[in-house]
Amino acid sequence: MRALLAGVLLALPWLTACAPQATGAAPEVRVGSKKFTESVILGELVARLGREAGARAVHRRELGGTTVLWEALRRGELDVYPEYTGTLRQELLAGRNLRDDAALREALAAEGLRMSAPLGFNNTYALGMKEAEAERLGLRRISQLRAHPELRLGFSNEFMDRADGWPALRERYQLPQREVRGLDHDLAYRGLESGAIQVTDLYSTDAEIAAYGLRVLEDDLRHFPAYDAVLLYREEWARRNEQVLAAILRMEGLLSEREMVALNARARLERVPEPQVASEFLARELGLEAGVRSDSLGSRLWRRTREHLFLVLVSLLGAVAVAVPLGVLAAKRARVGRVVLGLAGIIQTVPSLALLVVMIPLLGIGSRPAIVALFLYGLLPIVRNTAAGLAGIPGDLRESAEALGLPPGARLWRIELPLASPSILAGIQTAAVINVGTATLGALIGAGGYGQPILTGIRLDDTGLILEGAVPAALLALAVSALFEGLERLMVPRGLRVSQGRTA
Amino acid sequence: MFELEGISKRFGATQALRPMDLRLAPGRTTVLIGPSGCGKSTLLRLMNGLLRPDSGRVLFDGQPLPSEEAAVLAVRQRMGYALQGGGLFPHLTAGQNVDLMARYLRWPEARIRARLEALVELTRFPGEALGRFPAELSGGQRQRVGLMRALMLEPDVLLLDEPLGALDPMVRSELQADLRAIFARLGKTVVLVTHDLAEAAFLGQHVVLLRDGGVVQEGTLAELEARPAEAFVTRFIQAQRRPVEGSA
Repeated sequence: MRALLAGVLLALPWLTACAPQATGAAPEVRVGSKKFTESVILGELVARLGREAGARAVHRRELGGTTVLWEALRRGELDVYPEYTGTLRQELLAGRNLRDDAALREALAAEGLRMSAPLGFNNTYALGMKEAEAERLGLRRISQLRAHPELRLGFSNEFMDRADGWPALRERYQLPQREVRGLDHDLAYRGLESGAIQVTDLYSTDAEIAAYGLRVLEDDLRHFPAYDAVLLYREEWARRNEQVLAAILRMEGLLSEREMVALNARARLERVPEPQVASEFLARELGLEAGVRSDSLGSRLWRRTREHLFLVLVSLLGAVAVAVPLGVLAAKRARVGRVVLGLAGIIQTVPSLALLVVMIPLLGIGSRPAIVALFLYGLLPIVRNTAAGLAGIPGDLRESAEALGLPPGARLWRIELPLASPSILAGIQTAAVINVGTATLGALIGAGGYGQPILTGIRLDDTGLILEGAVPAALLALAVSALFEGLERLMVPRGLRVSQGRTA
Repeated sequence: MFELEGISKRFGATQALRPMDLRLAPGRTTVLIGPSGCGKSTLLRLMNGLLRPDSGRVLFDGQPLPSEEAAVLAVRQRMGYALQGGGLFPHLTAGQNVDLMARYLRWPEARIRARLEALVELTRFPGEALGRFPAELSGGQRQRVGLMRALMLEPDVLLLDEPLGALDPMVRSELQADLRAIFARLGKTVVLVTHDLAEAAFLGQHVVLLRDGGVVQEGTLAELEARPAEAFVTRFIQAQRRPVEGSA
């Protein structure tokens, strides 16, 4: 059973062995969240409640996908994260046919995980209409649509295609409407506004429900699967932190759909930072003292710069240490060279996002997998430039070194590497600049850096936030480039620069 | 000094050297001469083991050239080698080029300095230019540095491949005179590759004329002129003399 599950989740058995464990002392809670606003708000609520109970709370926000969080939780790198029962059934534990929540709990227990009671809202597919329009037609439930064949329906393309989307819905409710079109999700809201369509699909806690004044029609035949929000947490952590858990579980049943829509709207539409949204809510509902520690722009930038530089520097140093010797090998042994360059080339073609995600089952979340991925990306330019630099040494110089009686090692250190140094340095420069850019993706797996504000900015459609990450990243790339120009002056032997000046 | 026994060398489809025997006596300057592609440079590289013969063997000072890399390297330290353009390492100054090997062998600083001074004086190289990089030197100066580098370890023999090939005529004739003086002063075994008959006559006592990978004739130039082994010898000598006489 366990093995089957492991197979489904693509988790390699030996990986579970090395999960880091928190040391006793102060209670701690490590919270994760997915990269959409609702999940971030829930994560923030958990973290605040944990802090309230005296725990040191870390919130790793906007991690790059459900599997990332699930794996991190199973490996013990996270203690809690918000999840949806539908996601557990349909994706994470798909194929297990878990009919009710009790079965679900049982399957989770086998993984050493537990699930809270529902938080109170169900974020599932739903149909929505303008409130006034629905009122006029007296519509509250989906089944009532049967009486109005003249309604114009517009659904997101995904909903049109999904097996449990429109085709199944029409079947289940015997809906007679003929005028149904597929369109982009964002356009659907504007279509409702203009009257081009009258009914669309939405998620039942979308912020737009509040913004556009929509009425969500009740799924009275229970067609859509339940996506009840719950908290997933580790059994082992829970045993050690009962008080913290108790504090966090105050969220059970606390959030109605209407409440969640309001919170989402506050964050997405009014652009209030999630920590503040969470804090306001807890002050209102549980009387917790509101207090949002907000970083100044300067300290945020400084923290992210440190995180970013850490990723780039460690990965680059590793790449240099491995790639230069590989480049030498490639230059000396033609056949090995072809293999090495071929492999490095293949790594380079793996999309960075895919490489990062592949690293997670191996190395978990955080800076480690990001550094390994960046390290792999750094290899090719350095190997190639080292090999090319060595191969480009003129024959008469090679021969002179040999004729002098210098052994191969001394030839390499005293003659060949210095002569190849401009090329090698250029390769390292390329690798460094690529890494500065690619490291922004590290935020997707919890490595922080300049990617964090970019990610949040994209999610909230906030150009200012995107720039807060993109501008420093661009500046850092320029600075790194300039640094290497300077390094070239220091490290490339002066005699080479003289001759370059002459021949140029 | 050098005994070549039945050596031959082939590069792919080209027979660079046909099987031959050759003995080079110690203490004199031998010139390997012939039209381009005759195998004279290949012959020189067989002597210091940069190339390995396909057949036969090379004896240096009565001993066959060893086959292990490390042993060959040690033997090479007893053979100075300089090639056209000097073959200088662009990342090292003139001085560093010259004393590279001595430093690698951990010669005492005083010995290195004394040797450098002697070489600067011998090759009439401006001492203050030792700190310059090859790119900052003239062609003639580069050649002198190449020669100093070849002589640094006080080798038993000096192997020179077209050492004056790329120089303009004025510098060339000045260096020729200097080289002759140096050879005379050192009294070492010198093997010099050139395609220029006048240079060969000026610098060498013993001339080995090659064509198509084989020795046509060897001896002094006077002997070659007086008793040519075949018509090619006379033609080769005439071809290089005529334009000089025509313009005179």
